[in-house]
Amino acid sequence: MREHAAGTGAGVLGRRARGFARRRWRSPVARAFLKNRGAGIGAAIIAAWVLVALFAPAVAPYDPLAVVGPSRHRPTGDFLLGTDLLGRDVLSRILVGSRISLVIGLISVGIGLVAGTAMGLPSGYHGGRVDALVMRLIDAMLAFPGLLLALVIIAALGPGLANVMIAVGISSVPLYARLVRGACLTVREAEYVQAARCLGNSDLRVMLRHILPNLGGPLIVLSTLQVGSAILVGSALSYLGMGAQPPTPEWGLMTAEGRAYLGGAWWISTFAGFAIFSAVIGMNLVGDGLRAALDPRGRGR
Amino acid sequence: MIKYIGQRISALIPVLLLVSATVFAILHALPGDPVQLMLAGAEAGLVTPERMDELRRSLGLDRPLYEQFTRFIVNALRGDLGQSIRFQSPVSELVGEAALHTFELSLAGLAAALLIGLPLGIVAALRENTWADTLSTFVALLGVSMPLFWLGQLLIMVVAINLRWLPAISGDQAKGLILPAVTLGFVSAGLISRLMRASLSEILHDDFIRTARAKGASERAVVLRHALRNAFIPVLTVVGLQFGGMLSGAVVTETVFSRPGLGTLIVKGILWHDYPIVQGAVLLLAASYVLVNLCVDVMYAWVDPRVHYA
Repeated sequence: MREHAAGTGAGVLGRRARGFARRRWRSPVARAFLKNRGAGIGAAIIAAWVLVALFAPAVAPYDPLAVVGPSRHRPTGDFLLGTDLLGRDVLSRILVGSRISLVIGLISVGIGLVAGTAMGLPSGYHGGRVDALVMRLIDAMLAFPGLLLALVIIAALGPGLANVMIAVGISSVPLYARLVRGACLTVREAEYVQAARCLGNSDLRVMLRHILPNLGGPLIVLSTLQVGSAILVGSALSYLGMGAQPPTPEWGLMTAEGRAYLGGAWWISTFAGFAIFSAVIGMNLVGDGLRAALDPRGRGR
Repeated sequence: MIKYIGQRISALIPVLLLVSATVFAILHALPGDPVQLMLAGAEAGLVTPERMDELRRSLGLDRPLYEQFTRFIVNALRGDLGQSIRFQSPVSELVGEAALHTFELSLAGLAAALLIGLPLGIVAALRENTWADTLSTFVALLGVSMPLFWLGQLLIMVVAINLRWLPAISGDQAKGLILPAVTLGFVSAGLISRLMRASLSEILHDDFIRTARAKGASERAVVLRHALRNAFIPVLTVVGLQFGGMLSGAVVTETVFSRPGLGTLIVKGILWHDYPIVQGAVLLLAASYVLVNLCVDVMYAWVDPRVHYA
């Protein structure tokens, strides 16, 4: 029945994905994900950017930092996406810049994930005073809308790429902490948790070995979406001058550098902005696909 | 109801205190001597230690942290947020003036979000699984994936520079507010349209809608008088929460369109190490965000008679 449902996808791509799904992926989650068209597009975009990031110096036609042509040269055969104000190749800068954006996305999500889980687990597990303390802290963090918390942290640490990652990571802590706490509250009284405790496992062990693995699905979905949002916030901070400093080929900074030349040299910022957009939309499509695949109610449709 | 509002307001006080403590702590307790940061060249030894001590004393930075914090809170309650280091004028004046611009922009952004999002969501719900539905999904996806500053620059390029329909730099004219408002409101427009669609399409399948149709009410009356009124309720909460997003999105939008406001002020404050400005502006933004959320909750209770609060 399920094999049949998986086989209704049309086209070579569909058939190949189906064969792939049947051979390697027995799990219904993987199969539901592979059948989702949006998720497929997203995964392809992300895979492309990861490849670009890995091989950027080899793929880039020019040195991203070197002046290789006239200032503001329009896109032609020599410079596929034109040159910027200083005469650097925009395409090379975008390709190499993918490394920065992906690293910002991954590291800040890592920070948020670890710190948020470290706050949410004991909060949901112990309840009481620990919970009250953590929740007040999170309330205070949530009182800063969007970018603001990251900006405050940058204000303290000073502008720079590393500080952007810290700032974006910390500002995503409340999301993780609340997710983990909520999930932890619901499984706290579950029999397997009680059993693990009765066997004499320490609280820490129960939390890490028995509760945390059960939160995997939601954490993966949130993290995927957060990578996109971290790339977005990180590039916005660089756009404001709080992140990467010239001459770093960072996408947000590049978009800002072209801002004064929107009339004459539109290519300087348009392509860099598009790069951010494509990476983020890829992450969002994958995240939505994962969420749909992990939700048993939506599966099999 | 009054009791509920009172409870909510009293619950706000610790949050606001914690927010000010957070801002204060982050800007004071972390590494980096504000005086050194303020005086360019201090690290190179160009400024005498006497001059630095003098500045530290005049700013009250030589006092213990808890004393500085108490004084900061007491002064803030009196409306005194300190002196800007760069401008040599009261922070409350600078921040107050900037806040007017930011609130104007945020309101305009919210209006744009509603003007784009609501019709799109309503049409999507009425014409489920048609192009309108797809469009609204697409707008929502674009909204959450597009960098705001890029969208703003695209709008400037196409609408202001190529088509010459609207000015790119907003002066005092209302026309100059349109592009920033659309830029700022676009993210929320997508969310609002999706939520409106979900809420309305669910209600259109309800029994009381069938009853209204059975009575012979026109489709127009069914949608306008019966369905929409109920469908708005869940949208309202999100609209309120979106206003907070507007306040933060305004930070970027102001820079894109070279508008004055709290966002540009914070960015300048950070770049110039003028931390009283950052402190004041951030505090005002966070406080307004918390207050708006409170208003939304109260409005929610007022609009929907089914909502009761213990």
